[in-house]
Amino acid sequence: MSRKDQSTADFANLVKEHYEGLYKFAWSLSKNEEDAADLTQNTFLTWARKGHTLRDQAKAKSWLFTTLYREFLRQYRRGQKVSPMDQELMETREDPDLPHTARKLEGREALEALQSLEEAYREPLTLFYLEDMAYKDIAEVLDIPIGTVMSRLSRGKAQLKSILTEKKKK
Amino acid sequence: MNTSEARYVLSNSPSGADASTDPQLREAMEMAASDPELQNIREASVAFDDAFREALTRCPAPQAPVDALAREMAAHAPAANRSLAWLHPTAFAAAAVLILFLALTFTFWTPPEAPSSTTPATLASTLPAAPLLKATEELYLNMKPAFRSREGARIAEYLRSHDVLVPTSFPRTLSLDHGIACDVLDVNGNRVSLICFETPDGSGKVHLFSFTREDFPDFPVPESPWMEPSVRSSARAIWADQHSIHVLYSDDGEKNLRQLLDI
Repeated sequence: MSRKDQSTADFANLVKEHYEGLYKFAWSLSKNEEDAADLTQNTFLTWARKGHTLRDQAKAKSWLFTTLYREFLRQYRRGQKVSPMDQELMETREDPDLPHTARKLEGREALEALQSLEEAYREPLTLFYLEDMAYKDIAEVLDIPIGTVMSRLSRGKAQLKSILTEKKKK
Repeated sequence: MNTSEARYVLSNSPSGADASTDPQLREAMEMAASDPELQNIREASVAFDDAFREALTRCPAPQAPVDALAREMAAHAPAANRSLAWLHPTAFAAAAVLILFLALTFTFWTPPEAPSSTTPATLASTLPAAPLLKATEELYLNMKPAFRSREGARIAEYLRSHDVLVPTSFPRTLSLDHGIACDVLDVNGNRVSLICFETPDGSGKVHLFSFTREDFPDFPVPESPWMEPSVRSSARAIWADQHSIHVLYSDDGEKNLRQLLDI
């Protein structure tokens, strides 16, 4: 196989492996399917131009998610606000039937529930649930300390459960 | 940590191998070891994570962006792979020798040129608002369009959504449908639109920077394209219409631009 063919095949494999995760992450960030498609496409095009400069190709996944996230921040230029933890949320006894509720969710409903979280919680939680990313990888992609990842994941999960509980009541 | 805090931590800390690195969760897990209620909470939490993760996998991503990407890559395959060729040591060494040879030749053999009386005056020296051209050159050298699309309508929509005029004065052979990317830039507080095009015959790329004319009221711009060589092997042409000042760069030099502008 020529170098060019190999390069094309590698690229196709990379798209196959990471497209779905990147697209859903982009959708969760932008809350818009068209923007998600553009962000995902641009991320792969950036890889086509610059990916060869990455010395450790094992870090391709982290590189792709970081690139997509930075592009999202660049386009949407916004500040992240984290609201103080709601004491009420902390004291709420949660519905023991929640795992069952989650099991019955349609894929789109699950993604919409993620989208309705506060931005600062949505980002790490999406990477956690969609990509099963380790804390340190989430910290690298979002460029935040690992302790912040832990607390945001925990608060985000609490908020997510609260949203699903409310949804179930309706 | 009291029981209420442990309940919260066990219920909301995400599950997975990484969880053991969380000191709060570790402490809560130690408490759960001797408390069945806390144990149940943790089990429900892990079950929730598994169920929610599974629900997300039931949401398929659309195929259209992958197809669009494949088209984009096919159209630009040589460019995308070009850089890889330089990784080959032989090619790299040959390039280094060539560059060294050219540098030495230029240094020792090129006699200094006297200004030629036949060289036409460039815009930069004849127009008083040279800073605009200088700024455009900077933009050209550093451009990295934020939005990529091969649909003229989407390019126009992007520009409109960023509050800049969509240029209407294109060279005869070019239209918005030849656009491949665009951006909205800033020059000293003035907004500038950039549209990148592939030439109709697919032989090269040109980049159109459009300034709002009223931002530069004293800039005497020609109504028909005026062309001059630019940085590296590129060439640029400048003209104006009622609302905008346009500067069009061609990556492939003067000949390409002349063909495009039909001048």
